[in-house]
Amino acid sequence: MPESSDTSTSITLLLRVQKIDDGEAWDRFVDRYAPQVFAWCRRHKLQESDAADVTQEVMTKLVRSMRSFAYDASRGSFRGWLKTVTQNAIRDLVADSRKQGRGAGDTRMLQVFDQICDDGASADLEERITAQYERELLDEAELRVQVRVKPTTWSAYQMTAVAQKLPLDTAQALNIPVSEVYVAKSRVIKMLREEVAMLDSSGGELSSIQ
Amino acid sequence: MMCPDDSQLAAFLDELLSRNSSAAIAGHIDDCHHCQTRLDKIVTCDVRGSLDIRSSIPISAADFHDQTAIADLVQRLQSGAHPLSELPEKISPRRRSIPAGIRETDLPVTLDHYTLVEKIGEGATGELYRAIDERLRREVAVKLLKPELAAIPTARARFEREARACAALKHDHIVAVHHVEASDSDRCPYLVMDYVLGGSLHEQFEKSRGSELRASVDWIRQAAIALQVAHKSGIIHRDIKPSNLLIDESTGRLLVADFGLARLIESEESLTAVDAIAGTPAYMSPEQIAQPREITGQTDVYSLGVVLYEAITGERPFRGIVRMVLNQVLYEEPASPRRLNDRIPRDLETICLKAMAKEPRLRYRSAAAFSDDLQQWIDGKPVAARPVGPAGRFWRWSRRNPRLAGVSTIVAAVLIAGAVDWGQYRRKSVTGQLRRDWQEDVTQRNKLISRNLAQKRHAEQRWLQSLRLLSLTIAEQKADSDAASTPLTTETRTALEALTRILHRDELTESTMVGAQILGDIWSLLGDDAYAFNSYQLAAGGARDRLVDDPGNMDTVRVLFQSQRRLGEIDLEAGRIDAADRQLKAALNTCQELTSQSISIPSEVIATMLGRLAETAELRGDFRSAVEYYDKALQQLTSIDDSAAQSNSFRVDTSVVALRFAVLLNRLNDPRAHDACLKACELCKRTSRQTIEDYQRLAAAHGELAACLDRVGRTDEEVTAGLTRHAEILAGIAAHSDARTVDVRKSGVAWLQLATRHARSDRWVTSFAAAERSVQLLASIVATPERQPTDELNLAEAQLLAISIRIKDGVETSVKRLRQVELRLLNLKVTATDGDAEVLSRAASLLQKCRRLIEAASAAG
Repeated sequence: MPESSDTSTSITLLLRVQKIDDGEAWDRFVDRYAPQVFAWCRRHKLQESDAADVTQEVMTKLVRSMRSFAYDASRGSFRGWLKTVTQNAIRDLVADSRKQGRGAGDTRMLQVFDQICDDGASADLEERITAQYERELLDEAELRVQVRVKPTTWSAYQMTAVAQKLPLDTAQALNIPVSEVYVAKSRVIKMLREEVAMLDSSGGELSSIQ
Repeated sequence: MMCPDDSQLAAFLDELLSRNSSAAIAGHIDDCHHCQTRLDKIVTCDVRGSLDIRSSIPISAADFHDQTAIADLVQRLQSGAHPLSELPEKISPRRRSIPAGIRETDLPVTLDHYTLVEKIGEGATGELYRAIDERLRREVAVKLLKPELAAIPTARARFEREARACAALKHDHIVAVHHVEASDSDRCPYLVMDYVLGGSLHEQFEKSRGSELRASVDWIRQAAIALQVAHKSGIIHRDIKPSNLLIDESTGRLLVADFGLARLIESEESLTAVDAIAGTPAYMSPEQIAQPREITGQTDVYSLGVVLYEAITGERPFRGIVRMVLNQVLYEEPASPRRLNDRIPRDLETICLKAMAKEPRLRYRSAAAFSDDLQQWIDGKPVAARPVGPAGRFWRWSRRNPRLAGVSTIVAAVLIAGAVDWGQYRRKSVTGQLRRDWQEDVTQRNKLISRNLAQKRHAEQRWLQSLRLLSLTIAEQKADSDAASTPLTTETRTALEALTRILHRDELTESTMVGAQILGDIWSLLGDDAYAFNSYQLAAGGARDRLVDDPGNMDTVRVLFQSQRRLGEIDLEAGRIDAADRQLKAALNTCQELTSQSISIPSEVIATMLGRLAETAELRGDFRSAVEYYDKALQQLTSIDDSAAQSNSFRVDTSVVALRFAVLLNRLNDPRAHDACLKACELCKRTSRQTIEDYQRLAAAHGELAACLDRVGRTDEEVTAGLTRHAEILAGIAAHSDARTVDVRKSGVAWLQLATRHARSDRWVTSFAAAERSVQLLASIVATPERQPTDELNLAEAQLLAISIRIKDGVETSVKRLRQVELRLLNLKVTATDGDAEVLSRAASLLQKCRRLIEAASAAG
């Protein structure tokens, strides 16, 4: 029997990438978060080539920061932790750039870092990382909810909430009354809400259900 | 219909409305464009409460131009090693200085005196090549550490160290390692092994699933022998899986390969990151996940057990994405192999499950013990492993937890474990499966789903079993001790309360519906009617829901019947007469449905239920129905053979019904009263007569009988005999140490009644004796603070009767005792309140009689 290949996302990603010598987690972490970091660099007016370099730095710093400051549920929320490690990563980045800047006199890079290291930019990165984390939660929640509802219910949610189709069209496509579409959508969203809240409170630990 | 208001719409969406109003609103919405627009606003995608998660995240993080740059960057980052154990200063292929790997297109490649011919495999740590040893001119297998790992000094060191450890292992069933070459600046380290022609057990499984059972078992046995040798040398394989078990085509022998993750037991220091999980999840032992540092050879026993499981069932015990598998390995029991394939011999299943025991203590102690048992099975001899039944699991558990004494606590813990198990399934069993489903074909998916359902059912069954066990334990404890003591610890009670609360009608399955009913029974046993009521209501609701889809399911109907019946009984106890009436009538209907399907309900159950219905009717003043129900109840009872097998509680229940029927018929002057009284006497006599209540009922039945005989004008003799029996039984009760004032009072009154009856027929001697007994009994009450005016009146009457007989016989001449009675009556007249007219008039008439006697006595004197 072939080994199961795991193409899914996991809410444990942020934990796994710090904990385990796990190339797969790293790859997926890069997949999910690097585009956000890159977009953030571009947003703060970095050139494409600089953005790539800085993204690389930020990703490395993020993992380092996560590793040196492990998440401990007893000490606070996962979001709080995420914010702290992001701030730490940026602080490291600034410190590095100062050092390099002095030594090599690479004034262009120094400018580059100055551009992205003001408070507004830092908060923006935090927000993006957190949003990505939320996205992961939602993806996970969707997987969990999907198996708990009838296929029609799920399709109704998919078509209206995700694909943004009109309820009337959805009802027609699924061959159910439009009132049922609303009820289905409402029910799935409620379940998602519960699921996300539960996942969030656990920070995505392995045994998120005790 | 008018448009519903916002709160109605909200209630509709939340599915809080009744079926009718929900249908009405749904119908309206389907036609009302206005309401649809309103709903669009109410149902938002606001998943986190305040934020629409979907729209807040930019779907596209960058503009089109950036997409290529990002793709390039991502690829660059991913091609670098995970920056954990050895974080390169900068991840960039330009700067990395690691030995280059070998590209397949470059083959054949020469490595020292080995010519690598063909790539035959790739694992987590290395690549495997078929090669020619040019010096010895023979085929060998060369395993090269992966370039990205070779770049990490610690990983390199580990590889070399382990390879040397393996090279020391020489055994018929272990792939021999000939040579280990350390890395140098431009080459990865590698090791040279025997080349085994034939493929792995993994491929065997693919080819001939389940057909060669005996051969597969023998291969596993050979692997176990090999492991034993390695364990003795202090080497644990840590990654036993079918692809590491090679079958030599020429000899048919199995060889264990790739001790690639093995580490030295003696070595305190581990080169593997502390919390790194190494191994293939599906075959990993629970301790390998939970306590990777505390691994012993038994870990390999476990993994080999999983291989055996796969070999005999054709399926892996735990499947799904990594995280799900890990969770299952830790917390879930595998489905028993015979459940998947009932042709698997029982002993083999037992061996397999023992090897796979979650706790190392319960597993085979060593690989040798495992191989021995497999050999026993192959030879057709009895195996050492014992199947673990519920009882075994239970006692194992209790041994593990010696500090929790008390059976009920243990049962409760089992129960909670079952509930947690079940709860896990309820939430997530199928969850991770879905991701795999995307990659599976339809047949495969269906197979998975049905297996998952089977596992879920299995967990529910275990839960149900624990519940039944608990219910039995409580019933036993109650039978042993007196009814007032509660046999539960606080923890158990809390657990039960929690359980009762987590059950929801919508989520009830067949098993949990039955579970709800058992919970009701447990709460009834514990005397907590409120919780019992909730549980039964849940069970009944669940049963009704299920019957909509599956009306013919008599098991469900049975649950419905039991629950309705108990709900009615609880309502009746609580005095909710109308509700009781409804429930019991519903139960009766359900019962008729069952009997019409020729499902037999024990007659005493039906009789008791009819009795309750009659009681309810009586309380509602509907005597006609009451008579009808009692009659039916008695018919049920008479249909039962008077066998010794009848339990006492059954006899008690039936005597209660019979007695109540007799009382009612008597009260209604019904001609059937006499038969009913006789029947009641007979049934009351048949109880074990161990408790005072048994005698009270017996006495009451005889009292009814006597009253009935008197009413229908039977002979004095018959009536007197009845009254005598009644009084005698009551006297017996009054003499009992448990007798209460009310028992003594009844007895005193009965004797007085009897004395009066005798006196009326001039049987003076017997009358006097009865009166004296009455005086004795009543005087004992009057001496206590519990006395009531009627006690004093009755006592006075009995005394006057006795004295009058003595005066008539000329024995009594003194008026002293009469004066005492007179004083008592006068006192009573003074203290009696005005409202108590009956007491006053009776006291007055007795006083008159007393004075006449005083006169008579004085005249005689």
